[in-house]
Amino acid sequence: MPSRNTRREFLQNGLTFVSLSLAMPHFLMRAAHAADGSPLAVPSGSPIPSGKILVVLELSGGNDGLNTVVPYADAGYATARPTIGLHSSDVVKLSDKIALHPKMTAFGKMFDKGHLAVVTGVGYPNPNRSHFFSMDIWQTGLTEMNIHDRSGWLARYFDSDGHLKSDPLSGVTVGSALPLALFSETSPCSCIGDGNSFGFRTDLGDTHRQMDTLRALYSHGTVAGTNAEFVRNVGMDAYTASQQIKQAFQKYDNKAGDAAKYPAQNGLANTLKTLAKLISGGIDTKVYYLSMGGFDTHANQPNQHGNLLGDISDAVAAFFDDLEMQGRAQDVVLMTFSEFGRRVKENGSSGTDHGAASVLFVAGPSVKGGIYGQYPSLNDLDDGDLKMNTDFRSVYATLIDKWLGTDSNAILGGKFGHVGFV
Amino acid sequence: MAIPSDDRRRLGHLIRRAGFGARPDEWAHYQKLGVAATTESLLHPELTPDHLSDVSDALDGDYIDHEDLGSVRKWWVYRMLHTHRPLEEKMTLFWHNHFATANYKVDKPQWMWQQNELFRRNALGNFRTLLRGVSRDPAMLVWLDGEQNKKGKPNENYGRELLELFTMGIGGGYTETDVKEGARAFTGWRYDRDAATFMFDADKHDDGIKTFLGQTGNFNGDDIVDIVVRHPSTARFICAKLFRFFVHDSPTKTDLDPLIRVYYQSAFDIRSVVGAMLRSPNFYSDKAMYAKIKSPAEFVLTVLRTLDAPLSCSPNIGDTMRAMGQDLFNPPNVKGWSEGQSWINTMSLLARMNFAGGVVKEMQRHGLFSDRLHTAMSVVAARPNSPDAAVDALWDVLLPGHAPSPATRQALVAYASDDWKPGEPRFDQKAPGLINLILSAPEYQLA
Repeated sequence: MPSRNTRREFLQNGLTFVSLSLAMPHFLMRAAHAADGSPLAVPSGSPIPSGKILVVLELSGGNDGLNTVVPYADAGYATARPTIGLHSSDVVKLSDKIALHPKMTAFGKMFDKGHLAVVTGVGYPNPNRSHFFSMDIWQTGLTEMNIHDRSGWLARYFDSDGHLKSDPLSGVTVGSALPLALFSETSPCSCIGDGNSFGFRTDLGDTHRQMDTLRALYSHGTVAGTNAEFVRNVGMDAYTASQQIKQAFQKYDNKAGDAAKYPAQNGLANTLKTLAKLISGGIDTKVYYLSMGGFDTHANQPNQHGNLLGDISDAVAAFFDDLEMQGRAQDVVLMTFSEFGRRVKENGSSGTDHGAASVLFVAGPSVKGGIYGQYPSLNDLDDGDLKMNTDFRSVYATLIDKWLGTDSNAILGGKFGHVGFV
Repeated sequence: MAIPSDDRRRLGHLIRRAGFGARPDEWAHYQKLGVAATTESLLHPELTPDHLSDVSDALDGDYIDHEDLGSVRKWWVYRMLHTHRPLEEKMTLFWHNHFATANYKVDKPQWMWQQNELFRRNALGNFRTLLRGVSRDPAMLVWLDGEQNKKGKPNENYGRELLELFTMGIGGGYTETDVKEGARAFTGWRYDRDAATFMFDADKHDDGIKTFLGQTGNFNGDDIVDIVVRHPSTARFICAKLFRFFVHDSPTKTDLDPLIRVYYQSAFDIRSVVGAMLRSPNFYSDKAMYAKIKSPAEFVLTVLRTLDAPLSCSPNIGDTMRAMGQDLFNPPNVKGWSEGQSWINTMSLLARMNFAGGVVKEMQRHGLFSDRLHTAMSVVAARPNSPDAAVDALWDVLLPGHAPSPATRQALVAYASDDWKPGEPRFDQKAPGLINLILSAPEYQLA
């Protein structure tokens, strides 16, 4: 089925053979060739995508939930954290009980506008304190490792939908490696680096000639045989996808981008700006996946952690300001997560060790802002860690059912209650 | 030294399928031997000294850290790249995918390395011996929960996969009862965590009577292996899988029956089965030649070997292969990689093209290109002095015996002709770009 973007391009580019072979995925090209390029051969009646987009931001290392969303009114908090505890006079208060880290003023403003949902006490049963195994659980959406059919929860969302499966830009990660969350054997999500580097790269001094020749090598009629023809078709898809990204960058309204005032020297802000370009440029990506490290704060936590949280809050706020000006903010929801929170008691090095339940954020103007879940008690701990009361799969189920509009049952292997943030 | 073009075609095919392509000096050696003698030489790696045995200590000046998966991965790629026993490494790769075990659960790179050495020791050995070894392998015991398999509380994970994936195959004629009874026979097969060795725990072993595939007795794991290797479903399943790996994707009964006979006549000897396959006319049929899609390992290593490139031309080889869909020591699941067309999607194909470009660029940068390339070229012809001759010569070095279509050849000649008047010595300037294009072409993705 054609994506909305492809259909639009198809209409804009006209019906010559050249524009067909350059701009259209092979499944459309085949149909078009079958009818000698007649526009009537393009399958009609395919569903127009809803346009809703999910951005997932992984905070890698185990984010300290207690110093992100602070239970400042709980006397146990100051007792557990004599050195690294945040003072009630500094924090950004969300209620008479909890507050954001002082560096998260931009998130405070989003919360006031009703654009930020704070989900507290999130985790999974029988917490595992290994980064690796806990990240595996969050990324697969399964609490037991499945070595028979291993796949990411977002990849299963794509697999459940034939339309998404056929478009390599349905799921995109900005970075150098595909995360497990987007991995399955059948769902070809794309890892686009910084966006500019996605595509055939050549650095031999004659890029354009190389590019032209490569396109000729992948044109119709160069190879015979099932597997050779298959490779040729995928190559043309890859070319199409890289061209779509280039075009999206060209379409981006730089003035709106400048007006959004993305913070300088903030890596996440740069990445989110890239996303804003792709989104406003009309790329039909449903899920963007980003990862940010540095949260494994065993020592000297306060400065490092504060800077990370400040970066997130500033960058995400600018991202939605930008999208607002581009007219796409209503279509985007951003969720953060981390593999676990940290222990309630600080350690002897002004840091914190691996813990269990934590907090996450869901942001965007389409979100029903507010505080969700019970903040876990600091007096009723599980081996020194907060107890979870919102299963992370409920957060996933909410996003799949209510935002992406697919049935979460099959994807998550069971029914999980919804959290009311969308 | 020129050899008849059909021999060249066959030799190229043999070395791609039973190895990972050849370096220029290896080509010269294999050409002297001819197709038949090369086949026998590949089938008998033990006759060639393992000049890489000390690679387990150091590689490119870095010590191998067996606790680090990146380091273990690099060690194996280095072996595949530099081995003089290519079929041994190719079969090690086959077994890694057959007994697909992943470090994301085992979480002990050293045990993954040990398992890899087990596959290498038995690469072309006896299937029963290999199965007995795999059943005792610490990484496998973690992977399929051997530790949890106890008398009175059997864990069926290994018992089931032994039949479903390792021997008889789905629909091979075993029942749920066979799975359960088989699992009982393996109870108490555990590992010693500190010594990283197999350990039999008699207290946890169920020494009652079991009925397995119609036979009854006080069976242990070895007895189960002995029963299962003899089963006709196992013979067919293993022969078919080897055929799909070495020859083509759709073997018929007529293709497999002679191999099954060899399997039994040789008492489950893998070398005999693979040998029969490589010597059969099937192996060089049109159905087989350039018909399979190269795995990422085959692609990466064929590029590096054919160009005689050092590993330093692609320092992050493990991550590169992961981007191409083959993260060594981390197969996607217990079924292993699906292979074939599943190797190719937009991302993995771009990763292949960009890897090729990176290697060409690095070789050019280090001035390695001209010498090594000319050694490779000398196998075919003198340095070509026209665009047409350059395209034909390079194509034949990289894809021996597989003529390009007129459209493909035309596109490459057009590229080479730019700024090249026939008769001018411009080959050295044009070769890197041409090689990059040929390695990126659809044809080169095929084995």
